[in-house]
Amino acid sequence: MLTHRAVERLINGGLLFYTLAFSIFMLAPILIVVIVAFSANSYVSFPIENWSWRWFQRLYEYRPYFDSFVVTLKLAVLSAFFACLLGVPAALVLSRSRGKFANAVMTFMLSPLSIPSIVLGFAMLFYLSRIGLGVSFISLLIAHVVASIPYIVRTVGGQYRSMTPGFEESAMILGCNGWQTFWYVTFPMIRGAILAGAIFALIISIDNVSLSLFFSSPTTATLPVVMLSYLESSFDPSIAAASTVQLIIAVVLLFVIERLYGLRGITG
Amino acid sequence: MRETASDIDGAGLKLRGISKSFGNLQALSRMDLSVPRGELMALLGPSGCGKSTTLRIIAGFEQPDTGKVLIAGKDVVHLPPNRRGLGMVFQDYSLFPHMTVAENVGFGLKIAGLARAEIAKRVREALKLVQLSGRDDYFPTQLSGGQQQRAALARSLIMRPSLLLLDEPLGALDKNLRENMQFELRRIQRTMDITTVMVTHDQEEALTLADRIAVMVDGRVLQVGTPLEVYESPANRVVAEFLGTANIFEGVADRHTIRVALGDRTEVLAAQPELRDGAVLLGIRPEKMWISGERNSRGNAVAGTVIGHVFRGTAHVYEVEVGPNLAPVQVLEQANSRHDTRVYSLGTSVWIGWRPEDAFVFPAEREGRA
Repeated sequence: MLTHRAVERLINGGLLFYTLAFSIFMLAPILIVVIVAFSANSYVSFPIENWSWRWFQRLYEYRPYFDSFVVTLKLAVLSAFFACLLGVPAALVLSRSRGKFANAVMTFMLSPLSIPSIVLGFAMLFYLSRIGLGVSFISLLIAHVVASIPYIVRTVGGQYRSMTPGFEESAMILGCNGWQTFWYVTFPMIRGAILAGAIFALIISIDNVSLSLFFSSPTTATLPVVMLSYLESSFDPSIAAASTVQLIIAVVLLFVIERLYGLRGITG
Repeated sequence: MRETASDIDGAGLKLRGISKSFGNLQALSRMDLSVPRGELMALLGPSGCGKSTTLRIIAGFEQPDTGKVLIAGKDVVHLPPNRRGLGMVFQDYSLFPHMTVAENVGFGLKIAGLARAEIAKRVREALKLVQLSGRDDYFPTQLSGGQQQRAALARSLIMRPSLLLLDEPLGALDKNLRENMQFELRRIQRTMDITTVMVTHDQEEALTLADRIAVMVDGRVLQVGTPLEVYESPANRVVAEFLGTANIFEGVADRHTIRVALGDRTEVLAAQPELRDGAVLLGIRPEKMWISGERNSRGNAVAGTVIGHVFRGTAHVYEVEVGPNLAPVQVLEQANSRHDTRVYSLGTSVWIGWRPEDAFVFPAEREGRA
């Protein structure tokens, strides 16, 4: 006969094993990519025979990699900025309004999360070409802003909803007009969420392939797009090195968000 | 007490015919209220009675459908909250978490554009008034609940508002702190001589703090009076039962005598000069009754049997059965000294009674809304 406690232990042990196995299954390929990036061979192989930094150097020296990396960073920063500019006011208004219209607008703003990015990319390319923007950095930026807005709206909206109206009402009673209330009370209290949302927008933008692919040209190709086309012709560890760089950026940014805001606010 | 002062225009607060509905729900119906200068008025009622809506209308966070809000004689209905010159302390205090205590308290003056030195001086005074000197650089989360409340109070008072609004001021404090803060709040309000409207569902808070109480139920003011008036002479059954416990009997009034089927008696005395004949309700508070082993010759007395007893530290509370179809009567007897209080055990035959002038009587038809 198993006691209650023993059953509990067995279940806990089982869960631990499952979680570990699952994590290894998910993380091992990523780990191998990072290791391969330090290979001296000119082809992807594992295990590593000779170690070297040469593929990281190649990243810097190969123009398309370097140029697209600059485009990627510029795009990420600008799209996060404009997504905040549009997303923050929307989040503030929508999280305090009830009713069908507000709900509909909220769902609409979050919809890029649920629409396949191929569909979104195609639709945006079609639309932006029609209004004369075509394949350009502006179009690329607009597409990325659209994809980033949901993250801003979710973090800022979540934080704002958890803030009782009493804070803003206190400010008003103490003589603040609308702007003063926002500047002295609301903004400082949602600053962390804005920053967290903006960082998430950066990560989404740096990572994105499918949207960027639609707006790709020699001057607007992002790093993931260049990596993809590089892979079509050659398969050397420089891809692994580029992935490693991307990975490091994402991990650092995620760490900052976790510190500022907690990841639960976005994923939960 | 101050009824005459309430008729003087241009002082304190006046609400005239305030109505407000949310969808199908009538939150307030044609409400009138006068709060003379310097008075502390408590709006008391169960949740959903419209007291909070009233406060929010005075503050300007809600617009009434009809009616006027006169502060110092001026209708402020069309002014936004930041131009009404009010102070308000929220139930959760709403101290700005990103500002220190001093920054919180001085915030309104900063918005008003005062010089930094002047702000610092007045912040010091305000913190002294609420006994928070030396906590200037603390953040709100580093303060206890009582200190947070005093900081919120200082933040409102520093603006020298013409009217102070308190939303459940002691609601978030634990019991011991509550009692201290009652005195503290009263002292500060008196010192500042500031007209105050407070909202509460806690009858004890209203009775101890307020100069006058407006008892609200279902968007109406049922009675306005001093704590003594509303407690001792409630206007109807709802008020009587909302403020403390009351034993209520149905009866018929006939020339200063009320006939109530009570135990072996059918007649009790009442001292209500304006009593009109007809169906009435007679109420007596448990602490106004006596309980004894023998019949007391003075006033009303009824025989009964003890069916319940609890000891509350300062008093014994008995439940006494006086008739087959009557609710048990509650009698509260002070536990005076350890030796001279007799405790009646369950099943004991006792006499209970009260003095005619301690009972309150109101016409039976007015209980309709209960």
